[in-house]
Amino acid sequence: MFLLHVDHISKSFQDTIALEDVSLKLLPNKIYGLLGPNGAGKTTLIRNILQIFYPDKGSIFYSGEQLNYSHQNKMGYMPEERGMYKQMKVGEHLLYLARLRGFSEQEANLKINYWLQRFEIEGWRNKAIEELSKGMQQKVQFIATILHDPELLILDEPFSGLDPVNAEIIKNEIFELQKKGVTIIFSTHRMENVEEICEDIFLINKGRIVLEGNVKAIKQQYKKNLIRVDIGSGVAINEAIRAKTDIVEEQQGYILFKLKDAQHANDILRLLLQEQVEIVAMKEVLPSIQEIFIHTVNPKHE
Amino acid sequence: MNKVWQIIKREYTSRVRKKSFLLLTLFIPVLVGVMLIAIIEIAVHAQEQLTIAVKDESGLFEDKFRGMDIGESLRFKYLTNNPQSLDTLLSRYKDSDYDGLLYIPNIDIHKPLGIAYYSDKELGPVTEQHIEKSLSQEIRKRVLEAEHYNMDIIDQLDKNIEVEKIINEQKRKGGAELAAGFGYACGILIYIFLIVYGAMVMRSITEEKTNRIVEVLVTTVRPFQLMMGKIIGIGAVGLTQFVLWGVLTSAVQFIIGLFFSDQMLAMQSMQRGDMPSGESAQLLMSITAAFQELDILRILLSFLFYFIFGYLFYASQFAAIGAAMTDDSDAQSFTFPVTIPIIVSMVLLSVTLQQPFSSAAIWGSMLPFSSPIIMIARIPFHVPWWQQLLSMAILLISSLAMVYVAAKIYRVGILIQGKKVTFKEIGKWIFY
Repeated sequence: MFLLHVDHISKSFQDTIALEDVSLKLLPNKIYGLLGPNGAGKTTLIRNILQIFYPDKGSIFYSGEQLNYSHQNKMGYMPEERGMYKQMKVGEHLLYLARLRGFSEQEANLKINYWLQRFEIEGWRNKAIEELSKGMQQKVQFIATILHDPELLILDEPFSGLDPVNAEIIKNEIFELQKKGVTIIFSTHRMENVEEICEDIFLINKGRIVLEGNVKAIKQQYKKNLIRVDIGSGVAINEAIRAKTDIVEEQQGYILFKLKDAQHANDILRLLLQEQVEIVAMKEVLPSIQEIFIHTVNPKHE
Repeated sequence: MNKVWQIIKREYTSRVRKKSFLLLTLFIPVLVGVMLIAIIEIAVHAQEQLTIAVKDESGLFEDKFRGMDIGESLRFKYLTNNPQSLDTLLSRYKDSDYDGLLYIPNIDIHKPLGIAYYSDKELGPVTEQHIEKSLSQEIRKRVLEAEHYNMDIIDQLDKNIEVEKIINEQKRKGGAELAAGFGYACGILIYIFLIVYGAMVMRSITEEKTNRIVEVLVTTVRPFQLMMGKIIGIGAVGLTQFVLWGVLTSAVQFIIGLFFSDQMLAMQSMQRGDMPSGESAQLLMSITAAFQELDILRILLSFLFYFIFGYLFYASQFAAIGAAMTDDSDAQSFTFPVTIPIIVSMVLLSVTLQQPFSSAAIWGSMLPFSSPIIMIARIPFHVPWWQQLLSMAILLISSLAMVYVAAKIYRVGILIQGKKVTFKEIGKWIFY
């Protein structure tokens, strides 16, 4: 059963179409990447899932049920722009949000204690939020998002503005949550973390899902049959090799081959050995998600 | 409901705990206290003990001056059988510890000219009036006597005529001025409350929108709950402030009354001294009677109703505007349509107090835009019940309708970032 099933939804605002016939199926306990350029419809999609907006057409199901307000407490959302009451103290702010989620003061304080300890920031409890640095605020915001143990966590650009150390802490925490069974939607337009974190991605552009699936499978699908061979220094490539292969790039120390039709990496290896080229390493070159993203969103770019 | 309660609690406590709230709450009673003390002190000390020598060449006023002293503060010394000339007196009156010299020449009662007061200090207005009034009374009496009028009849002519008002078969003893004062005070209080706390709702919503906390909150609570929590929470802050002002100001007045009881008695005797006895007691009685005639319970309960629903009516408009604004610079052009009716109501208020049953006043007390200010000002004038109930029903329904419309605008507005919106767009949001 899908944890979340977005079934052919469309949403428009006045004259602009924000989402058109968008479908998503999310399995429990996985990390999904929601990718797309600014203005593609990521936030609108998230807001429909969070029931801030309602789709014009189509419906959304949560664990097989039609989405309703009782599901709101099963989701946690961290918006891209961090929103906090600047003048409130860290402890008060977290307590307020937990109370809004329906926890008693006692339960809420237990949870707050746990997370403040886990992030080693108990000392901040009585500090006003405006006194904290941006990175510190982000940690508090993250705690606020997961305080109520959501099943579905939606993170919008969770690493923006974080230094590498804190980004690592948050990233590890995301993996920890996944181990505990949480499903995570990770929305971003920055690709660096996507390959590292997500198993599956949805690529959204101009209100439509343009690409979806397993990251590895997508990379295979978009690969350009490139083989990189690292060779010993000072080794020259003779004409025999050039005649039989398609060399894309030739640099000191490595050569990039593009496989011809019916050609296999082994064929190249065999040829190089035959011509007594010293081989240090050899691997298949796959496109980065960044390249696929740009290619899909803007095909003319290539 | 629990969520709304949490929001109310946060909105309330975060404001009430602020130093500025405490300062403002203390400021008004302290200001009233300081002003009261100042008034008492000035009144008592401005009337230093004054002893005035009276040189009366005409001899007409000897009897009159016997009864003209006002307690310790103003005394007259009528110089009988004093042959000294005015010039001699003028050079000497200070040696005899007189503060001034009142000189009355041998006047013709038909042409009483040349009465003069000599001193090195200015004469206070109360004292001056007192002297002038007493002297003219005496002159008038003398003139009438000279013309052989019957003084008993003249005394009868001096009676004040009072029109007895019988409204709906109930006797009313005056009190129109008091009712107007009361109505004005109630209207002004509600006006201040609407403007100050309405704007507070607006600012606070814009702030939540700008710092994006609202994006987190709407995943937990419905926008309507969020808006209502804010409106109620801030309204409760206002109510607290008004109640505290009322209680603290009364307490301050009471304490000052205890400490300055002597001075206040002196003030009262001075004011009374200015009037022929009996008249003051009568005035006091008529004020008391008028107060009794004001239906305090009705005024109080009506005030509470118009206070709450007038606030709801306007605060929801301010909330909608706060949600539609993208930054503070929009505030001017957006608040204009909301504040205009409030300001117009203030203008209408003065008309209402002069003619509480004019058609302008009646219409003003029916329309929800002005009824919280106008109707509450009319109630001390014993407005017919059907008018008040109709006005209350209209306000109740309109404020709920306004909340409904505002919630629609709020729901869309709080999530719109960046671009400026027009009133036309806001209108469309209502029908989303």
